[in-house]
Amino acid sequence: MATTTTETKMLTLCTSDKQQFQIEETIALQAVTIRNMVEDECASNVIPLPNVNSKIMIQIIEYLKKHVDSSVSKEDMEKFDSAFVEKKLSEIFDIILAANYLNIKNLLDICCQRVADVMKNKSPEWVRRTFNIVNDFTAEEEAKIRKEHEWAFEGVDED
Amino acid sequence: MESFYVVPEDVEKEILSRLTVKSLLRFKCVCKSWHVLIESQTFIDFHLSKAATEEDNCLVLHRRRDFTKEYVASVLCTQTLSLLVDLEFPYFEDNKMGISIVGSCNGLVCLCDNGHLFAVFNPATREFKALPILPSASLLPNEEFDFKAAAFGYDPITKDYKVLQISSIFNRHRLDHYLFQIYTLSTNTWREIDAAMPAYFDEMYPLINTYRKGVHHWPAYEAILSFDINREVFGTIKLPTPTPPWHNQTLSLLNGSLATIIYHLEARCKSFDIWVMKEYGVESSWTKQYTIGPLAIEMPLGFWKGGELLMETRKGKLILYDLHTRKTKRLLGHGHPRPLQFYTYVESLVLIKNKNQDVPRLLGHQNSAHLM
Repeated sequence: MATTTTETKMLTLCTSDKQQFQIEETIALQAVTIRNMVEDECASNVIPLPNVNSKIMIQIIEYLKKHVDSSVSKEDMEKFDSAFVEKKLSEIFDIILAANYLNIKNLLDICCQRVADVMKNKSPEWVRRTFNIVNDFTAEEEAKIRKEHEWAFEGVDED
Repeated sequence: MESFYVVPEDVEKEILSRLTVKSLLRFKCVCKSWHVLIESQTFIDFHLSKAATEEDNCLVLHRRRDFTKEYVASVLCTQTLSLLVDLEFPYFEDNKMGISIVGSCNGLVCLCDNGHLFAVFNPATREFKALPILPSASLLPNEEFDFKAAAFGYDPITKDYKVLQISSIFNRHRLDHYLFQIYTLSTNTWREIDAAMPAYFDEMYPLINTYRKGVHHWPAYEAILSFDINREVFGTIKLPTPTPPWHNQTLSLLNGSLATIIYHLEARCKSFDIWVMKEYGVESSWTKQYTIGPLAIEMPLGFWKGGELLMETRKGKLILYDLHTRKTKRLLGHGHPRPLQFYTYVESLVLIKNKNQDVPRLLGHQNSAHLM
């Protein structure tokens, strides 16, 4: 149990849109990228995060604050996580890119799981649009691959 | 409509590895790079490693209660406990009475009918392969042979799948010795091996094997019999306590540890002692973790979901008993008494036919070993 409340070490994070966030070091260090910067002492007073904008940073801090709290039960943490990923897919993708850059493994995990859950019953066409993928098969090639596992196309959501 | 995300390749792989096999087979036609990725061995392994961190589903072989008394293998979902799918066995169409599950490993399920026909299939991809007919044993004039036990598992060293078939050889109706035959998936051949079995199977025990990290285990007389799939040798593990007369043991895995459930064979209401081998291979690490009952149960089948015990009632019903809350739940509607078989099952993309195997298969089984 902490006997002293003095000197909570703070870090300042600077996002791509030049917003500064002051957060406790223990919270920020959950991001491996930030931890490495601090350990290598290449971080001065302000840590620049050019790949994360402030809108996403706010959400990531919300997540990190919850996860640093060891008094939260496993069950409550799972509840928090599942509520946290109840966002539009575009936001989830933004968080994924940030979590990947900041190297926050469990955040990346729950977001990837969320995308997978949404994709599960979708058509290949939906996937191409969402991931911005160009179909590089010829019509014949695609038809052949589809035929191999025709049953895998049963029960697909309408686009 | 949201779009325009350039997702880094490793993130893309992370997302795809969390999809079901059915979704992945559908997404093979998204583009060429996804097609290559989903078919690649590294991705198949990666996808399997992700699935292995989840709780496995339950694969249970039971018999229909209707007039056909047919065997059916049902996959039950870990989360909902409900039926996901009933598996069909087209290969065993003529003999649905004598089917048993030989093993379930990395998403592949091996079946046999009384030790004659063997088949491996991947229920998730629907890939199926009938194994070559078992070469008949060369017997002396007074000898007879009988199917005893079989096992299916993965050799982590050679990254190959093997089936072990054990037959009893009788001379003038007395057990003389055992015959061991091994099938290797990559060569698609059966061969006999020289092996000594250091413990005896007891007729009373259900001969369902428990596979753990490249080693099979069977309940045997006063011991646990093990078989190392890579080295192809038997071993024994001492039981924590001598089995009292008229008692039986069911072997299973409890959270990855070898566990034995010891119970009275004949009692109507039975108590069960559950011993767990905390450190694999260390006999002094056997710990009596639970004693449960008395319960009106025919036999325990094995552990599922970490802390739950699957059991069969006298009437062939499937019961799930929670070791912590001590509550029971009924699973599945239909069932005919004995013998139920239970394995854990995880769906995977694992391929049965590897591509370079096609040539030897066309040339017949005998030559294939030389061609590999």
